Amino acid sequence: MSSGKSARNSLQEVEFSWPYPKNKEELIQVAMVTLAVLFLGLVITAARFTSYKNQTLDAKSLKQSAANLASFATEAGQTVTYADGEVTQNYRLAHAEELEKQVEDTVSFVETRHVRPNLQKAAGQISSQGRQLSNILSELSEPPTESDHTNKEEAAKLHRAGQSLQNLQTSFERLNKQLEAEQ
Amino acid sequence: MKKIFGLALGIIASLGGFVDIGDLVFTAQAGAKFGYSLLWALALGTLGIMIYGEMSGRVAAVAKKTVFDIIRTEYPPKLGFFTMALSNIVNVLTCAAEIGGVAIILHLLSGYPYRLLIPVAALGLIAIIWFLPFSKIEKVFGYLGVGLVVFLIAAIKTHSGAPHDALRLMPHGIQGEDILTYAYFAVGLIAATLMPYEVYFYSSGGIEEGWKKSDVSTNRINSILGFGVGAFAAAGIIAASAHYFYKQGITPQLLGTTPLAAVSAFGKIGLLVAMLGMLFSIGGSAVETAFAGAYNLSQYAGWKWGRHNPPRDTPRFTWSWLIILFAAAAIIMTGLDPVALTEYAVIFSVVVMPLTYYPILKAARDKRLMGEHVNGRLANTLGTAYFIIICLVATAAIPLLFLTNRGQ
Repeated sequence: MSSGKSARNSLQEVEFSWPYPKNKEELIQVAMVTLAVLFLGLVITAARFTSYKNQTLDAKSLKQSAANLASFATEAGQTVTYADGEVTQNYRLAHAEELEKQVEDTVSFVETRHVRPNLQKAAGQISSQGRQLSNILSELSEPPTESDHTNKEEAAKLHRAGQSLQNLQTSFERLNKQLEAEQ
Repeated sequence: MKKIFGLALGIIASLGGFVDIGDLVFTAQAGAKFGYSLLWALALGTLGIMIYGEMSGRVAAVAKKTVFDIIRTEYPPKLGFFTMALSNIVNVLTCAAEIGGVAIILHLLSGYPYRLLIPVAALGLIAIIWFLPFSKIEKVFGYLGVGLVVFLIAAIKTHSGAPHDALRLMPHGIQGEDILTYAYFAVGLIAATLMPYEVYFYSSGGIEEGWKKSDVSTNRINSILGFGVGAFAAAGIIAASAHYFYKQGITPQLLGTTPLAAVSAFGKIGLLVAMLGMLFSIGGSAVETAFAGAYNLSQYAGWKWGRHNPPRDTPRFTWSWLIILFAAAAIIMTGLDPVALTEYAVIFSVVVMPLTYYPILKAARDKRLMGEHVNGRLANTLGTAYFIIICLVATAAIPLLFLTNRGQ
């Protein structure tokens, strides 16, 4: 019996050789504190998520969304400008894909929240133009087909996309200024 | 001559890991939003990491003690455990963000799906750590991470075309909510430069490389010039970003946006050099965070540790860094955005900063422990001043994160 107890003690020494927790009681203390912190973190995260989901968009939030979309359109436009040998094809396709995800996130942020009545029109514009931007990026992230690659279609596609991106960027910037005046 | 050459290589090697995904995110966004006016925050953070890096290396060389050796003996047990647990949570989150960053760059380079590249990145890092000796690991990432200097060269090349507003060294015309955003980026830049894993890795690396009292001056030069070279690379990103993104009205929210600043100056070559520099610098940081976590745990628990030992002699240490890398890869596989994760990791790391830096200062000024290599008056004054700055940054970071919605 006593040899069993001493074997357990020596096992405990091996397993808990560090300063803290040294024994079962201290280990339970750590577990309780960890659970309490996790619970608190979960409650705070849930509360923040709920308030984020239920927030009513004001001019400031819409302005931020429009500014983000303008920035994405400019960035995509730059990548298209550099497409002619300045950036690798892999980079252009992969980056357009990443930008598309960001645009989708921004658009769904605007579409899934309440908007103040006087800002409905601006929100609608952000949503529709954001969708256009997303479609252009989706097209840009598609690898060119063999025929695209060998004829001028790919260059024409990029040229069209570049022009549309330029228009969208101007439009988002105009919207941004309108919303700034609303603030 | 051979010694100078070795020192120069050591300095270049220390670049790998200094500019991590957190630095890349904060510096590119800071330059795009506020031009040069946040360079002071980078300089402030760099001087801090030089001072504390030097102290931690000196303590390792003279007293043969790492950060967690000191924490284990100096802190009350509960506080020591809390520091170890919190620092390792931050290490794992940072490592996850770094692995995500490596996967993003591989995705941009190869076009293969990002999710597929996460395990590839993790396994690649494990293979490098497993097969290379410790001294070579640091060198591989350091030498290949030197490509980041392309941003500094791009900034010099594009300086004349930069918008005048972006070149102001002090903030100008910032008002209202922008003041909070400015403060968030200042705190973020200081925190990203002073990430605690850097001193965990640096002091343990000193033990790994068998530093002795005679290496104290090499440690001083390495910490000052090594972190300095890293800071120049980071300053280059701020400047290139200020010249290019500020003018275009682009706020870089993706890791893949940052190399565009080099494209404007050097075209496809600039893009490739920038991406390779980012790949190895972020990869180096992933290795450092995984090692830092394993060092902390092993030193706290009193296990035998060190990559210079064969894995069979240090099984718990080896399992620790392997588990950290696998856990980090699993976290990022869930679909978390590495850029958002790194911002949270950087900001939350400030909580653990005072607990990490205090024992270094205490040990470095302890005459009984350090003998003739104890802190001088200048090191004590700067160390104390920086400890106050670190506490202030720690107090401000989390409220600013929520008030500014991550600087948006």
